[in-house]
Amino acid sequence: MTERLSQEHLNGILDAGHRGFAKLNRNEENESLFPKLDLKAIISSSSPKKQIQSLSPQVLLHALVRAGLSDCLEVLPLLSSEQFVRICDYDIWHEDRLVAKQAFHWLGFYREVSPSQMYERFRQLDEEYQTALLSPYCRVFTDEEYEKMTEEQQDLLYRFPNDGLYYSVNTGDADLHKGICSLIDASMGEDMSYAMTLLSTAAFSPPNEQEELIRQFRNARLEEDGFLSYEESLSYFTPLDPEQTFSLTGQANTLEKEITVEKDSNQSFLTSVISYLAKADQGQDPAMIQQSLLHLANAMCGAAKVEPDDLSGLKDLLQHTSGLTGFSLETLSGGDLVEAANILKNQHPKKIFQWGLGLVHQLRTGMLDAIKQSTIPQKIVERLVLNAQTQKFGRCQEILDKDLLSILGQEHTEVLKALFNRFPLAPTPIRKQQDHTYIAFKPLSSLDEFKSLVSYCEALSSKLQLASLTCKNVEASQTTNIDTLIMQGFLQASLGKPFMSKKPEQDDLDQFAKLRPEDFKTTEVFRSEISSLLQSQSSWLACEQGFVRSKLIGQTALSLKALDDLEDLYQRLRLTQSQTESNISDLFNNPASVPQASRPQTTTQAQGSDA
Amino acid sequence: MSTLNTAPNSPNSPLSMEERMELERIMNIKYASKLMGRLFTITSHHDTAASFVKVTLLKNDESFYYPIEGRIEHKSQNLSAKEASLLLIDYIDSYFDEFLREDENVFVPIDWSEFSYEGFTLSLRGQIQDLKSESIADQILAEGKVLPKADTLQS
Repeated sequence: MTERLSQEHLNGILDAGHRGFAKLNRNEENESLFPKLDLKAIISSSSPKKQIQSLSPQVLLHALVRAGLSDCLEVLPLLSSEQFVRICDYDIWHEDRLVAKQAFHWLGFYREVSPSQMYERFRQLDEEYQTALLSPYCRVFTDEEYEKMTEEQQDLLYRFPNDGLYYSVNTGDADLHKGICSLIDASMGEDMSYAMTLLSTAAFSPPNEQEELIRQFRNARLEEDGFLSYEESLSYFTPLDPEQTFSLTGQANTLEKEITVEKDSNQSFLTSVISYLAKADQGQDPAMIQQSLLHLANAMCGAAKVEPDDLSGLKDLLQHTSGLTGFSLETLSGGDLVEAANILKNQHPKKIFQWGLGLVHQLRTGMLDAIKQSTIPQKIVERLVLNAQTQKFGRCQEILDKDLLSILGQEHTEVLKALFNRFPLAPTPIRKQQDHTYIAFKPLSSLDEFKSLVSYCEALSSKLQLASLTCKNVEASQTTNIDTLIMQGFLQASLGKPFMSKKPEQDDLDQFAKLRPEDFKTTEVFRSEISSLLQSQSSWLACEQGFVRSKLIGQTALSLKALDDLEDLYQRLRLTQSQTESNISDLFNNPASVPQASRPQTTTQAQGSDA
Repeated sequence: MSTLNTAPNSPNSPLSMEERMELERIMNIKYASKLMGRLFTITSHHDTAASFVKVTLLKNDESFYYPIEGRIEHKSQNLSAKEASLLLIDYIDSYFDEFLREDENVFVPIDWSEFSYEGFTLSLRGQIQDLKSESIADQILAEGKVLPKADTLQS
């Protein structure tokens, strides 16, 4: 319908992976992942220029923008020429096009320091930058051309002193017009011949040619900070096989083991590892680790469609990449800080990140296998599988939202969307806000969160299996909600009939209304019978031999979440005994409309011991 | 996506209910990571000369209520009412994109102000309100209760 609000546009945003979910607020610890600078302290120090010039341009840019350029007039003159050029590479482009207004916004603050500062900074830029910034807006005219103009046209021109040359600044933007005029005045004050040459070159330069040249130089410089093209960035999302690369841990341990290590339960595992490295390895500055994690996040910007100057987007990516790296470290090391520090010190963060993706990939594969064996129409399944295999995450989200929401229900659909997101997310417990219930997600960052995600997937897989059991010998609609299918089966079973999905008839409802409390199964019996029933079927999440199953989850019982969800459905059925006929009818048309049964809070840890 | 906040369709809306709900759905997913429990709703209507659109970002309890209203003279600019409404929605969406990206520090004028978008002229206005507090204040005034003195409020 509209360009910006079309499904295609939305798929592109969802494909980027960091915007489409309600997320918990970034907490203090995540904020600390991005290097922070205290510019006031640096200015007050004994060698502010040396300190400023030792900083990475990216970090310096964000510190300046956060503080506000108008409050950083003392800092701006201390930047080296290279830093200024690099900051321009970050901040004066948008969607790969040069934004002159933003460039003159920076130069305007230098003008406040002094006109000569403005001139010097502009001259420090590549010649291609200088020309590209002026050529769309400046024209030069000789005396002859001037004489042929009308008075109105002449009034719009500016004259070079002591020469028969005139120039115009052609833009409707008052701020840009003022900026360009200030620059030309400043340049004329410092070096007249430079000013004339600059304007002449800019005026007669072919359109867009200089911008194209400087774009190439800019991209080459951004690559040094880790920014990659879209295609190169996609390669970071290739999952490594967890089994084959388990030897990541086989490096010689070069770290001291005598240092006392205390894990802070309020800190993430990654932060604990970095803190440990700072103590144990005297040459290892935590800032270097932060820088390498920032590099990793920069590399993701291409695939995630985050502009280099988008601090908010970059922080989101940093949270995701650091989270998944921390999860990988924790899993690889078994939670051992020393082992994890050794891995972090000796392995490229990209590899650690990809190893964690390998675990998520196994979970995705298992979930797809469970969906393939379910009642969901095969055409939908094929499209989902194809898009998941080709990492078209935006399309996966669309299929889940449009084709599977009514079949799976909102909670399961949202969890699957989080799993099939470019950056996998872990669900937080369902929270109630006023009358609304919603699920919030956070970047996957620990083994416990991964186990929780596995547990949600297992619960869904169990429901899919149970729903397909109810349809074994029955012609049921393939798009019926799985909760409905299961409750129809429970109803039939409660009446002593085969466990199958069949819309209850009046006789069934009359019989159901007469059931006594002792006719219903107790919690213990129900859970035991359901567990046996499902475990006798084909294994859930068909990744029996995979790392996820063998190393992390174990071979045995259903997760508590799976049992809780199924028992919840059974209890909802029980509650309907006292309901009106229309409510019971609602139950089988829209199970979500019937309130959940209350039951004691249970944890969602997976049962069973590790193999 | 929840439809609890979807307003009923105006009889002279150039957009059908389904179209409006679809646009709301997409906006709510697109900005999900920054909504913090808020939702977008869209309403629209038109007359013979102009189209009007209102895109509101709000919390359910209306303690945060931010309507952005847009209007465009579709007849004089050779647009159909529907095209004009979609153009307005596009522009308002680009505003909210910047608003949410820049930590909610970018605002449109309170009174109607002209903007140019894709060669067309349109007007926008908007102001953040706290309707919940306003409603409580109205209630207090209506009941004729004496408000506590300012210095006692600080304790």
